[in-house]
Amino acid sequence: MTKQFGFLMDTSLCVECQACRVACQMQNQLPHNRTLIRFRFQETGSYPAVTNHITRITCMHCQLAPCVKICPTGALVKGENTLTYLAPERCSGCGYCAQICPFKVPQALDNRSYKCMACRELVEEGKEPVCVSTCIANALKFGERAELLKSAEKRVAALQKTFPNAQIYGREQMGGLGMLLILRDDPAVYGLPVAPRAAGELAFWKDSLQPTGFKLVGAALLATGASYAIASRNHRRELSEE
Amino acid sequence: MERTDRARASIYNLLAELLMPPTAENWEELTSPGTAEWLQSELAELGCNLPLPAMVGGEQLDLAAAGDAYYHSLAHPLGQSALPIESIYKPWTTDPSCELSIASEKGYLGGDASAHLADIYKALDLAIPPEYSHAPDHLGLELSLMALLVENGSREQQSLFLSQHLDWLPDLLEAADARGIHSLYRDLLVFARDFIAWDRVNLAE
Amino acid sequence: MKFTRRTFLKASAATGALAATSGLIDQKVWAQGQQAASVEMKPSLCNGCSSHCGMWVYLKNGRLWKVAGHTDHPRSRGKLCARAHGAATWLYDPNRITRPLKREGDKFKPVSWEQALDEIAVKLKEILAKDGPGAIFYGHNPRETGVFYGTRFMHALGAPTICTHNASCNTTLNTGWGATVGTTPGSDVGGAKYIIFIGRNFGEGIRTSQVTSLTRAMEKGTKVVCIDPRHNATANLASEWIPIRPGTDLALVLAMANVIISEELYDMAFVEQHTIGFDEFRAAVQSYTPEWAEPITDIPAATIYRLARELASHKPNCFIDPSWKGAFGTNYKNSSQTCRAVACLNALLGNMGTPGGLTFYEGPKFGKLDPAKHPEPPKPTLPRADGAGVKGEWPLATSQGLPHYLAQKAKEGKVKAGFIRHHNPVRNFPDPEHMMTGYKGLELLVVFETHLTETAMAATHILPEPSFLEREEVVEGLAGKKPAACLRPQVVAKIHPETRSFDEIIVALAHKLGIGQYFQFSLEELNRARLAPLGITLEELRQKGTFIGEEVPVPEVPEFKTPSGKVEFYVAKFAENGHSPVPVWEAPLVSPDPGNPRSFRLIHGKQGYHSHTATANIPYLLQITKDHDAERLWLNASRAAALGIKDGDLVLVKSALASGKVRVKVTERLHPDAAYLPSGYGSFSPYLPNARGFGLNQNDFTPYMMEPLNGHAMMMEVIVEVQKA
Repeated sequence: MTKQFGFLMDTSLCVECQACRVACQMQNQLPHNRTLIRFRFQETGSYPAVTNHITRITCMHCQLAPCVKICPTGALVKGENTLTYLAPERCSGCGYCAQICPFKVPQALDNRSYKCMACRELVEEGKEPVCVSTCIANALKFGERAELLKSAEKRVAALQKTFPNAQIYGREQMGGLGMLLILRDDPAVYGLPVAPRAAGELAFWKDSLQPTGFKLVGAALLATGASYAIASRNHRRELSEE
Repeated sequence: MERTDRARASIYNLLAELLMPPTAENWEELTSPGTAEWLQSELAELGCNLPLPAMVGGEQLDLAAAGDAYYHSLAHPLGQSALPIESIYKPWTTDPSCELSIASEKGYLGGDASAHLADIYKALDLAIPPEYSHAPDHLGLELSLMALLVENGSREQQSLFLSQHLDWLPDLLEAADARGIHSLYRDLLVFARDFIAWDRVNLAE
Repeated sequence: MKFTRRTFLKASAATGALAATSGLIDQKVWAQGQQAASVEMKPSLCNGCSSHCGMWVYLKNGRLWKVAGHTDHPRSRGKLCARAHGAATWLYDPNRITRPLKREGDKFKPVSWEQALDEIAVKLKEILAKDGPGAIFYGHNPRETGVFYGTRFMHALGAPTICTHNASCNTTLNTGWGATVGTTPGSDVGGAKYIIFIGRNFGEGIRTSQVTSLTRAMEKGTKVVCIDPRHNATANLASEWIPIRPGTDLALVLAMANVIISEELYDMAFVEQHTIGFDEFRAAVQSYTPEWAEPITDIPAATIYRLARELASHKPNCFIDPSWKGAFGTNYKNSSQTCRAVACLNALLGNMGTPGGLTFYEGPKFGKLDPAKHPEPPKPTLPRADGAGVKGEWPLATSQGLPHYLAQKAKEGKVKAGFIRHHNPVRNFPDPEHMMTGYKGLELLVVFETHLTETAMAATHILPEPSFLEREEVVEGLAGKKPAACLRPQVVAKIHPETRSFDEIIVALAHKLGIGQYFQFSLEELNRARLAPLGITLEELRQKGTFIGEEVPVPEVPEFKTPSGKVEFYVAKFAENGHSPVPVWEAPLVSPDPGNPRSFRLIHGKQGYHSHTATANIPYLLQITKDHDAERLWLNASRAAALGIKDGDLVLVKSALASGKVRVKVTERLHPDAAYLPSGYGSFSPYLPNARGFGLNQNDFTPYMMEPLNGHAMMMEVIVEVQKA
């Protein structure tokens, strides 16, 4: 069996310094107006008893990743460590992943998809992804998912003394997320679905086709170049709808 | 060298001169009616049907005014003029190993173009003026190198250089228009852009 | 050819060489060769803020390729914040100053170095002859190169007035901590069991290793209390946020001292043996009960009791953070006394030099140039032009000086010339018109810069420095259990040939001014002399960047550099100059009008991804602001509702000085009296094209003022009216 790797973000330790965002932009050569890490802030309570809930909108690395299933060009793949990798050079920018993602993470722009690359090269060399190694607040960890879950449980138990709703997010969702989150309140507060599902009309396609069948169709289309063409057309439609 | 190549090289050299800061030694000569007449005949020789830039033989600026116009149009280092430096108009590098935030951004000095030009000068044992060490990919130097390629290089090398390096004048003009540079320099850039476009077709034939 | 060619490309063997190098012209072929090259690493020190975190710079084919945190450096410990990545791009920024510039009216004209330096020297000699060295000043954000060369230059001229940015930052700490314990201590975050931050905000006023230590300590159970009118980014993770009415921190600290003393929770042995003036302090705080403080601070008396008791119960492994600008930097009329009170309250805890308490480490003991060969210029004896430390002017102001008062002196014709480096007082002090008029009116203002800032706009001459990656600097030291020596070596060739580093320029100027005898050494010689006693060579340090020395044993109780050698609850020189020798309550200078629903106190603070206005022009960092609408003015939700203001609405902000429009963030995370602006925006130099006109700057609204005790700028003593635009 392959070992599941993942991230753990302790949202209660984040100081919103944005070091992870910029380090990620560097690692992935992204221009200043493209980012794979976006932040979401939500206040609860009222003055002075207020909590600021922070989370990042970034790939959740679903075990059962609908984006990987739907990707017609094979740009999105699961690594042996179960992280979801993206090879932009294979991406047509069709935006199917953006439509189907239960967390609305990928962005289809510039004829490609933008989402966390999981720092594939670094991880395969046994190093941490840059957002983790740069995190100045110890809010991000990377490692074996089982280990991360254990440490998250401890931390959540401590947090529950002050935040009774504190919990781990991602234990079960989408077959288990590779991006585990320690939350101080219910997922809904963070804009996170309690029971995420593949989204939109594409989700129906996925369900009606066996994954292998879909892959076959995909492969056949790819062989004729049609897949790429369809995918690109879909992308153009998206753009014109904006 | 063929007569037409001599004409092409001379025109590139003239443009290089005009797109570097004007000096007391050459300004009057460069913009004189005589130069205009000569340019007109060279273009005719080439069968290149472009109107002359107004700077040559047309509207006259004295040297001080020309220096000022040049500085505020093409050399002001502070985001006010349209710097005629290739790197600024290209993604900083195409090397995927770069982990600098600006790697795929436009708008910075010292990009691939700059490093490539510096290596070309080095390999050809060409010395550039020290004040251009930050910009081996300055338009004036690129035009000068193009003239040298016309004189000494193959047509293939000339084509490559035009398509890989001297392809950014439309972007420069866009920046020039956004900043409102002096009309004589704008007009000159239009001529340079169009002559390069003409020469690309000419070389392809 | 009809015209004379200049032949820009001086060819010796071009002909023929082209044929031999067929792949050369093809950029694609060239790029493959480039990609195959290896990457080398060189150390540097970041310049994204003035913390100078250690960084590794990766280079490929001589080009900057990546930056990463330096693991050995005590301030970065392998991690960099967002600003570091942004600041690295200054190297290739086309908006840099590339040649010396001279201002003619409002236009800048490029001039040669020879002309610039000659003009400066001639003018300065004229001013020295006419007005003497008392009429010139030097202003900077003090880092080693500027301190060494700037000070030596000024002293050689006999000029005493050397200012820093601190009068708009934290000069109150030098006053308050200095008077009480002799220096501004550090704090042992990792060892503390209980930490109170009053306004100090690790998450946004970032020094990376401090944040790392804090969250590690919190994971282990350290309790962290944030007291701030604003629920800042550190409050996000703190155990508790206690909002306070802005400007009233002094009342809170006095009331906590009252509880700790009256309930005898303080460290009696420490107070007995190592302090003076305790009786006067006890008498002074006797009436400051939590009940008294409640209506002033808006914090319930019960909370104040609890805080005081909790804090004291953890003594001596606890502290109130010494702070930076926070609540008792240069913000309010009572800030110096607030800092005094914080220092006294810490002393009650007996936490001076204890684990988890305040630290009194020193930097490395650097060597000096041979005094026989390189005698130091005598220290000037003239009084300072800004009146700092001068009887009858600002006797209690620190040697960090008063740049805003210098603008006034310039208007009065008493100051004629200035040199400014790495410092933007025109934008970063209140009342830009006051600052601009004063500085622009100088007969000579020389600004050493990489970018054309607002202060540079006032200059008569701008001298361009290379960026921090293109110059070697003076070796700097870091205080710590193990003191560190750090170097910023030159890691890339100069991009702009016409830029010169500060030390080069100062030496050249010194020679023109006839004080060259004080500068008969190179930067390299200086650095070698400094390093000589430490056991590392300059060559090694250029490779390593950071050198951690041996652990220096510290005395159990620090030697307090006060007149009595003890902690001083009672400060005699305050009394001598007409100020209270023990901290007593003093209200802030101005307060919002409780009868006017539009009336707010304008407060400001840093964001973790900007260094004041210095980084706003960097596209990567500005985009973070844009993506999060982070330039907005914060208003408390109930106050906003009463004015019909909704989240995202555009409002008009008005003070006696200025008005401006900005969108609003409606939040529960702010005291109702306050309107909060992030402090990094509102640049007005047209030469900062990305930052110009983006957002508002608090200094536009705040008048030019001086705090009565040490003369600082009182940057949060301003009331604004806010209404829907």
